[in-house]
Amino acid sequence: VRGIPFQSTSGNGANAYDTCSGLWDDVSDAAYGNWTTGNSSIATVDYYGTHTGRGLGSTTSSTSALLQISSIQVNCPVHRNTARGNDNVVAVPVNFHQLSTSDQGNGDLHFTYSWDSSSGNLADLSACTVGEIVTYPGGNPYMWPSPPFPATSSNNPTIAEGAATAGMGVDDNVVSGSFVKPYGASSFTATEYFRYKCTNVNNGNYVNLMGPLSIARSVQQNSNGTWKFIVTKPTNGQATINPLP
Amino acid sequence: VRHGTFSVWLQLTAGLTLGAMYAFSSAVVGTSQNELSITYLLPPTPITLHEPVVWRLQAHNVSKLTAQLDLGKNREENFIITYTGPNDPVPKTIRRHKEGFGITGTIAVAPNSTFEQELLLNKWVVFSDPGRYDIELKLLRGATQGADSIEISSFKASVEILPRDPKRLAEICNSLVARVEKANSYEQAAEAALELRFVADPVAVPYLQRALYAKKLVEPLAIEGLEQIANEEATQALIDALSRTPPETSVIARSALERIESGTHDTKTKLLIQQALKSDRTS
Repeated sequence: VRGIPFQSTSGNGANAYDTCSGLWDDVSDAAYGNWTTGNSSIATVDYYGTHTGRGLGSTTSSTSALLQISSIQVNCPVHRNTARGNDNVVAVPVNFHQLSTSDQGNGDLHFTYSWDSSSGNLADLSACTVGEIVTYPGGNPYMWPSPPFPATSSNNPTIAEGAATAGMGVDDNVVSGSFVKPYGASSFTATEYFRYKCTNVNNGNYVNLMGPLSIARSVQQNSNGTWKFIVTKPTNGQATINPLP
Repeated sequence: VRHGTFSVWLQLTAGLTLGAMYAFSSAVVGTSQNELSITYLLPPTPITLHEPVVWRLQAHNVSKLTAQLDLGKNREENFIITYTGPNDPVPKTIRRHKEGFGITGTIAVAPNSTFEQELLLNKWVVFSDPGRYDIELKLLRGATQGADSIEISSFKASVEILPRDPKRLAEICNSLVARVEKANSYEQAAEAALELRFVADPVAVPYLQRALYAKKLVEPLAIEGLEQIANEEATQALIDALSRTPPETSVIARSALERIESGTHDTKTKLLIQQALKSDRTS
């Protein structure tokens, strides 16, 4: 069973059992030009076996190939082999985009994001999650450099996800705890990707939606000798604590 | 705006004492034109130690206008819970505010419709001992209806936790993982998996392992549960996941093992994890 994203494409191929060697071979090249689908309103397929989801639902696809196995010891005649498989066209999250950013105070850089369903109906995303993975410079858990940062840590990577049917998400880049004196210049950068996964798309593995995005946190000195904390993301987002207490 | 918290408190206590199926609260009532009632449904049966403690929130909109509720990120971060435990009479106030991504908590309740969601109290309250826990639940923000704001009053109830019962706990875990396996959507699977993830008891390990391989997208929750238990069996389950799960899931299992290794003082566990991670890197 193959999951094909609605209004998107998914490759396919053909394998054949070699009765001479007793092994499975990839015979996709030999099957080019022979692909068909059972219902073109659900899925279509091109010369190379690339499937396109046209409508939510299930159909089958098949191809055939003329195969001959060369062997010194065994006489292997040319034979037309036909393969058939199921196609499930499923909705996936699309159009993931940032809606807003704000400084929520106390060093919390807040974002809101939105996405749609490729079918136009968020309820069709019931088998999908949307979320993020954030990786830090090193170590697990990653210990924030303290002082001057609070003596805290982050799971490395930090992974969070929720039901894709929500259609909207928020992202808080927060500071947990108090900054530690003596203050001094310090910084670190984490890398964030937004992604989705659906049970029947890409074998249930994640598909990237946005990123990489750098989440940069730093403690810097002001010209008057006081210190400030800044967190930024390259999508017009910035939050500060200025001056640090 | 009427506040019924005190009468609700009595009603609820009586309900629990009598073993009623559910206790109800009408904690919020707006004006005659703006009416939104919030109800909390409590479990009908006694709860034993390490079980999930689940309340259900119902927001029923009986007006002709859509009501907006803001429950916070992941529909939980705007809940503020204050509680006392049997061995901890000093009230603790907890608001979950986590780093990172979560789904929006803004809920639109259409006229004459009801929004319902589970509140897994173990997220806020550490039910570490049998006995009585007094819990007060508040929402950080009220609801809105058109241009009007509706105040939402707090809700109080007590939860009696009975001593640990491993047999009953195993039955509950089995029921939860069956819900995961039969789920028709991620939301259904995640609701059950989250309850299972908070069963901080070694009994839960084989059920968390089943959830891990259920192919319902709840692998991160199952791994969090195993990491929380972190005994030898849970550690071995995570080690198995390094080779038995897709690469992106094994990354999460590896990360959990690294944290267990970093936090444990048990040399046997440390060595077991170090060897497994080393072997995983070279394979």
